[in-house]
Amino acid sequence: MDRCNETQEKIAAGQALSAEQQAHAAGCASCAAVVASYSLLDATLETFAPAMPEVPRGFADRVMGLVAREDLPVRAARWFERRPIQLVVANAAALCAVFNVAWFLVRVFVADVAMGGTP
Amino acid sequence: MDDEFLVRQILGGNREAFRLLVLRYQRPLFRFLGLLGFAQDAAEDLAQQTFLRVYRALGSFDPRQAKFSTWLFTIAKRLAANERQRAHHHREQPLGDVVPQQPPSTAADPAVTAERARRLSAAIAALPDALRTTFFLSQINELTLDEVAAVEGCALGTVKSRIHRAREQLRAALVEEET
Repeated sequence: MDRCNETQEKIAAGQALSAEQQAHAAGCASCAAVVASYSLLDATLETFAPAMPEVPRGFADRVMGLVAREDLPVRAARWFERRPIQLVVANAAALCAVFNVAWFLVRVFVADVAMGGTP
Repeated sequence: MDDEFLVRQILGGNREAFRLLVLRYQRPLFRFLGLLGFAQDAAEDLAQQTFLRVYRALGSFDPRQAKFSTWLFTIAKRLAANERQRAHHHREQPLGDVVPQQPPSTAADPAVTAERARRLSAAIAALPDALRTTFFLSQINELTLDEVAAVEGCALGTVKSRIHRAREQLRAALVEEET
């Protein structure tokens, strides 16, 4: 039954079946019925051609004509790649590290005094 | 030459490299817009706008975040959605004239084939927008399902589920009238 579910899910999703699943579908009435019902859709989709717009002749030239009037694009610096941002982040990290060390030392020192140690 | 290489060329000052990107993506882009129901003039206009928008924003394109094709179709999808909203549905072309190509092997009668194509067209037009867009994006060979998910801004599982539901609705519409 698991194999049927797996096979039928694939058929319904329009995915290609493995050789093993194809063999199974051919011999299983339930899967064969699903294959039949979706094969009509797939065949119709294959030949389905709504009045599609065509790429007009010279379309790329036209686009390039518009592009020629534009400035050359310039790679935008990512916010984290900007020098001032990097400086701020580095300084903040250093400050944080100094504060943590100081906080740690203060706590050790205060705990020592509280336990009767000599400051 | 892959897309990222061409983008680097353009950013380095080689404007002509953009022509290769246009030539590479113009056909799938027109196909996508056509499947969404845009007629020739509207599709041309939207495709042109898409490429121009892509060119202007090329400096902000980050290949570490998305593939170029994903980025391009995301822009096209947004422009198409804006255009559709602007047109307030009444100017929307619901996949008007349907021209069946070669008949499927199961149906020899061209009239039957044409009738099926007409029904399929109506069923596609009746799909909810989200299902239709996802389904059509999945029909474009340039995009994998992961990329469709990136364009749609949803999870891969959602894309699979939408394709599944779209196919089920289309299948039901065909089978229902066939019986």
